[in-house]
Amino acid sequence: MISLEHYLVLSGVLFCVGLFGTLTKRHMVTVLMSLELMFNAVVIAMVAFSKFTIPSIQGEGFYAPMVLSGQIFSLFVITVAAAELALGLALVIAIYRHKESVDITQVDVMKG
Amino acid sequence: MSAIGVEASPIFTAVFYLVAVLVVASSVLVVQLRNVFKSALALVVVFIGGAGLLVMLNAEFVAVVQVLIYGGAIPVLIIFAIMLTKDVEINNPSNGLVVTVALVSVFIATAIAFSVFNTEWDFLEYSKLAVDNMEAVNLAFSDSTPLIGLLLFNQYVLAFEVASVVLLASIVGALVIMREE
Repeated sequence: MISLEHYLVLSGVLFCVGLFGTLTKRHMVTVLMSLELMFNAVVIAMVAFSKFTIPSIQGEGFYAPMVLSGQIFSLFVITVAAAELALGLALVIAIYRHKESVDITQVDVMKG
Repeated sequence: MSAIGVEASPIFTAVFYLVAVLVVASSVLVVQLRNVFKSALALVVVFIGGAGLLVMLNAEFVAVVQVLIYGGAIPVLIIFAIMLTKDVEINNPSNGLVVTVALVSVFIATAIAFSVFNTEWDFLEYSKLAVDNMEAVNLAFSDSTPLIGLLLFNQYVLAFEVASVVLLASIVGALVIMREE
């Protein structure tokens, strides 16, 4: 029997792999891909919560479709992730035009 | 937790572990492959596997959205960016923080697992909800797509409209950034 904990641990592992990639990689596109891994981990966690836990409103005000709130939130996460990735890749290409490089350690003009 | 037939079967458990191992292994490939193009392909495997997990969670609509956007649109964008920047031949180096960040990541994963197993979750159970409420919940999960539409245009309509503004802003922003001088 697969329980909430299985999904949450899987999501946590996926999140940490994405965190590792985001913080260690020097290729900008890989950093963005690792960010997407972290977003996807969050999506899985929220859908798992929506399936396994009870909605906060119970008794008189109970409205059964509210159990799907986690799925709605994950739809918004997917939307925001897509918007962020489009902007991020536009920035990557703009920086590549400017510097002929996609190495993220080269982009340090604002370093104090 | 609602134990409806198929979810209690050993095949379901086996499929879960298979998909979980596939997803985690591909995500490690995404950050460890030397060729960025191959990392992008591994990323597609992660997203399709994630969509499989969503189907196992009775979230068919989110799974289809995930296949369309994460499995289709985002890889196309990423592969375009990789090809436009002509760095396919350049491998995928790491900075000097690998050991530190690996330790921190393992620590955070351990902390997540620890807190997950030590939390008292409010599980969805027959004992906690009235019988007709529980039937309504099961109905919501078995036919979720129309209810998602209903929620999106009632309770969450403001967030829905704001999301469209966010998408518009990102389109305009991407065009402005990309435009040649």
